[in-house]
Amino acid sequence: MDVNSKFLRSKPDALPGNSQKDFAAQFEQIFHENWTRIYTILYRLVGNRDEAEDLALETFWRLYNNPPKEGQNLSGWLYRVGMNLGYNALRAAARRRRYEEEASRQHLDHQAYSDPDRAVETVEEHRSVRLVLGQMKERHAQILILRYSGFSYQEMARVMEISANSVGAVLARAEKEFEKRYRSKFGD
Amino acid sequence: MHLNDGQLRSYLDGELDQPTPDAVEKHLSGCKRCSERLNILKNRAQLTKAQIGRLQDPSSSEVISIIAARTRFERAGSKKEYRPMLQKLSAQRFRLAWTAGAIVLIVALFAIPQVRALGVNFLGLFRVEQVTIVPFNLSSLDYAFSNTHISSMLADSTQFEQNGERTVVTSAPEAAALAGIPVRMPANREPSSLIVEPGGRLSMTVDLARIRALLDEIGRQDIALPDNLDDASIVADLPISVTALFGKCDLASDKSASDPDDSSTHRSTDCTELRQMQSPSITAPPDLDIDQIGTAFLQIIGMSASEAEAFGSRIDWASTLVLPIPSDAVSREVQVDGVTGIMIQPQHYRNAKILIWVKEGVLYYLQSFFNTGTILSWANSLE
Repeated sequence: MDVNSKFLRSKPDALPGNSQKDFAAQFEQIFHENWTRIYTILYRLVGNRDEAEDLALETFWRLYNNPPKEGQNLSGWLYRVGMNLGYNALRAAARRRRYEEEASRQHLDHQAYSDPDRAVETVEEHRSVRLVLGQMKERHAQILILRYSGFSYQEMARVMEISANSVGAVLARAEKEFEKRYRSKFGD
Repeated sequence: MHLNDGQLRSYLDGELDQPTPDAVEKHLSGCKRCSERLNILKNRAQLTKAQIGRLQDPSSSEVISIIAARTRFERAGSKKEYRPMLQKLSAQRFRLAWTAGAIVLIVALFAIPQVRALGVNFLGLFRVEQVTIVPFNLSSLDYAFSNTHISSMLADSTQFEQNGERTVVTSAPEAAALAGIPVRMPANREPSSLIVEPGGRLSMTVDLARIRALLDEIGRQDIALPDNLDDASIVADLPISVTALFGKCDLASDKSASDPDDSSTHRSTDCTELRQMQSPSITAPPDLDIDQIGTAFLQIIGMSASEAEAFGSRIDWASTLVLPIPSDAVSREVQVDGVTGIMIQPQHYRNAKILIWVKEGVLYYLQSFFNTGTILSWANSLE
C-alpha cells in the first residue's frame, strides 16, 4: 500500500469539511488493508490476544490522532510505529520476568493440548525466542520479525527507513546477533 | 572482487538485483571464500527462521475481524475510554529512545537543584546496554548553563520525584530484596557499608520553542531538531541502585548533602565504591528521529556538525549510553566481566579511576584508587 499522506498531515478535527471526508476515507482504507497484518505481527511478538489488540488499536490511534507529515510513506510509518510499540511491550514484559508465567497460563488455558508435556515445551520455545528478541538491538529484532512475517525487501526498507539495497546487510547482522545470543543462552 | 554479506544475504532470499544471480553463481563456483561465507549466512538464516517460526500466529478463535476491530476503535475513541489506556501505554517504559531526552536531561542536570544533588547518579538516566564516551569541554557548558534565565525556563516544565529513602542495609541479600535486582559482590571482600539508594522519576514535556531559544542562547542556532519533538513527553526512570563501599569510606559524605560538583570531597583515597543498578530507561514517543537528536546532542557538547554526523553514525542510539566526559580525562575500552567496559581517569579526581560496564541489563560503576589491574580483578571476581 502506497498511500501518500497528504490528507493525513493535520489532525482530523483541524480539517475543514471536504478534507475531513478525505481523511476519513483514507483512514478507513488503511485500517481495512492493514488491521489483520498489524494485529498478527503484534500477536507473534507479544503472544497474547488482549495485548496484541491493545497495541494494534494504539497504532491506528496514533495514525488517526497524530498522522505523519505529508510525503511520508504511510504503511512504512504505520508498521514502524506498531513494531516500536510491540517491541517495547515485549522488552518490558521480558524485564518483568512475570511475562512467561502469564503467557504460559494463558496459553495453556486457550490451547486444548492433548499432551500437557507438549504444551509446556511449546511455551518454553516461545519463551526462549522472545527472550532473545527482547535482548537484541531493536532494529535487529524488528527486521527479523518483519522478514519472518513475510515482508519483502521493499516493504522492510520502507518500515525501517533504509534503502532496499541495505536490507540484506541489516538482515545479515540481525541474524548474526540472533544466533550469537541464542547460542549463548541455550547452547547449540 | 568478493561479495559482501549484504549481497550474499539478499541473494539467498532471491532479492539481489545487482550483480545478477547468474553472475553471483559464476563467482561462487570459483570463489571458496564467498561460498563459505554464503554457507555461514545460510545456516544462520535457517536457525533464525526455525526459531522465529516457532512464534505462533493467532489461532482462529483469537483472530479479530476487521469489522470488530473497527467497532472497538470507534467505541474506544468516541467514549473517550481510550484515553486511560493510551496513558497506560504511553507510560510503558519505552526501551531507550533515550537520546530523545538526552539534551533535555543534560540540561536538566545542570539546571535543577534536586537533580544536581544526585550528582554521580547522572549515570542512572539512560537505559543502556553499552557505553561509549565522547569528550566535551566542561567550561563551555558550565558557562551556558550558569545562566539563571535558562535554568528557570527549563525547570518549570520539569518534575522530579524521588521514590523512597536512602537505606543502609547489612547484607547483599537484603539489598537485593529492597532493590529488586541480583546484587553481586567481589569474591572474598566484605563491604564496610551497603546502601540502597532510592530511584526516582524525572518527567518533562518538551517545549521546542524553549529548547531552540536555549540553543540560540548558547550560540548554536545551527543545530537542527525534529519538529515532532515538540510536546513530546519524556520520562526518565532512575532505578534503585545498590552502593557497596569498601575500605575507609566516609558515610557522612552523603551525596545529597555535599556539593556534587566538588568530587574531591566525595570519597577518601582508601575508599572503593561499587554501584549497581538495573539499566535505567527513558520513555519517549517512538516515532522521534533518534539519530537526529543524537547528532544534535553531540553538537551541543561541542562537536561540529560533520564530526557529530561521523561519530553519530557509528552509534546505535537506541541502546548506547553516550557518556560525555571532560576532554582532559583519560579513558580506554577494557574487557571486564565478559563484556567491553570503559575505564575512565578523570583529571580532577586525583588518582581515582572509574570503571563502567553493562552486563545482563545491569549497569555497574566501580570507582577506586587502586591500580587498573586490581580494579579489573575486583570487577572480574563479582559473584
